[in-house]
Order: sequence, then C-alpha cells, then structure tokens
Amino acid sequence: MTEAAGPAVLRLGSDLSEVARLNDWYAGQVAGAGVPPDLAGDLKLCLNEAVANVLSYAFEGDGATDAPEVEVRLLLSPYRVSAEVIDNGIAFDPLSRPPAAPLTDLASAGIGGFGITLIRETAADVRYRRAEGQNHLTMVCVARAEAQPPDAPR
Amino acid sequence: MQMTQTELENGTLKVTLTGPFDIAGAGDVDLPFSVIAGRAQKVIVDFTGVDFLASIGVRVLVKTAKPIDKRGGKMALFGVNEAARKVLSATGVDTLIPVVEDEASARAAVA
Repeated sequence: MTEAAGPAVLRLGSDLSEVARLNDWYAGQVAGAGVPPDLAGDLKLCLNEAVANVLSYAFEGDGATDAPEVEVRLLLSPYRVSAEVIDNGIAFDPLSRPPAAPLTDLASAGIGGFGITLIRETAADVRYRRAEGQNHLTMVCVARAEAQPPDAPR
Repeated sequence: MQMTQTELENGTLKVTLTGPFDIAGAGDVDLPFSVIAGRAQKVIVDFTGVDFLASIGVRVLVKTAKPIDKRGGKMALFGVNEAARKVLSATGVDTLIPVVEDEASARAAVA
C-alpha cells in the first residue's frame, strides 16, 4: 500500500505550466492506489488550486527566493487521500484569508479569489504551517459517506 | 481544451467545450471567450465534455458573463457534471450564471 511505503513525492518547477505535469503524475498515482474517481477529483481540485496559488504568487515580490522549490506529497487510500504542498516562497497562510463575500450580481462580482474558497469547501481538513522557511499546506479529502464501508475509519 | 462555436437561430451562440477546464484549458479558451464577451448577446455553453473545472475556469466564465450582462444579454451553462456543479455552487457562481439540465433549457434561459 502507498501509505505503508510513505508518501509519493513530486518536485515541481516554478512555471505555471507545471500544473499540467502535476495532473499527469497525479492521475497515475490515484489509479495505482485504487482511489475512486469522485474522491480523486476532490483532491485534484484542491491540489490544482493550492499549487496554482504557489506558482502564481509565492515567488514574486520583496523577499522572494530566486531558487524556488515546490514539492507535492501524496498519501492515498481508497477512502482517504491527502496532499501536502511544500514551497520555499513568501510566507502565506491561505486559511488566514477571510471567507469570500457572497456574490450578489454579475456587475459587482470579482473575477478571482475562488481558489481558496474551493479548497475550504472541498477538503475535509486543511492545515497550514510555516517551518524552516517553507510553507506547508496539507489538504485531506475523505470519501463521501455512502461510498465508505460501515467499519471504515473516519 | 477544445472549443467550437455554433450560431443558432435568433442570435444565440452555442459554445461547446471539451477537455479539462484547468490552467492549460483556460489558457486555450481565454482569448476566444474574450471575443465572445465583447460581442455576443445570448450565449449557451455546453459543458458535457468538460471533465474538470478549476477556479481559473470559473474566472473565465465570470469574466465572460460580466460584459454580456452589462449589455443586457444572458449566458447559461448546461450539461455540467456533478463535480463541476459543486465548484459552481461552492463559489456561488451558479447564482449569477444559470446552470441548467439540457440545451433546450439553456436556450430558454437566455431567450
């Protein structure tokens, strides 16, 4: 099992086009671990949003490193999947952002800021920590209740 | 991501998308959607072939719908799978851009 073997790890470059490589790698990992499509899709969404944020913002501006490092670690099972995104960019805790205001009409609607909302709404658990100059964002998704066996650990 | 555009009767434009609406997909369709945003009045978007929707795709949809709405036009989505529906609902965008079952309902929604 993947869990017993430790996380599957992918290192990414800092270009936004790396998300495509991430998605190809991820598809192979979830297929190999027998993760059902719904659950695999939930974590794929969280990963896309988290990595897109890192690649878009973590390495720009004052204090940003000129030697970007981004790593994704996956722990996969058919009922519970988690992804940790680690980067050495500017310290940023996505959970510190206030929840997006409800949209009322198209005229006043902003066109951005949806990514963090999606992570919050999709993941069962999201944790952030900053350690040794790195951001660690861990996102956990669990299978929907009807897809779990009665004795599955929650 | 592939996009095809079909002019229907009474000025409705049908946009058919195929593939993942992720960062790469959004890059493929951002420009044609900008052109649509600048001139179309009634737009229906067929999502049947969209197997993944990320926030960058939501951004493109909202960016397209805003100027259409400003001109008094309408845009609606149909054929949206369950995962993409969740994305549109979690972001609240389904309250601004109607998400309906099929093409007939979408045509009615923008008529």
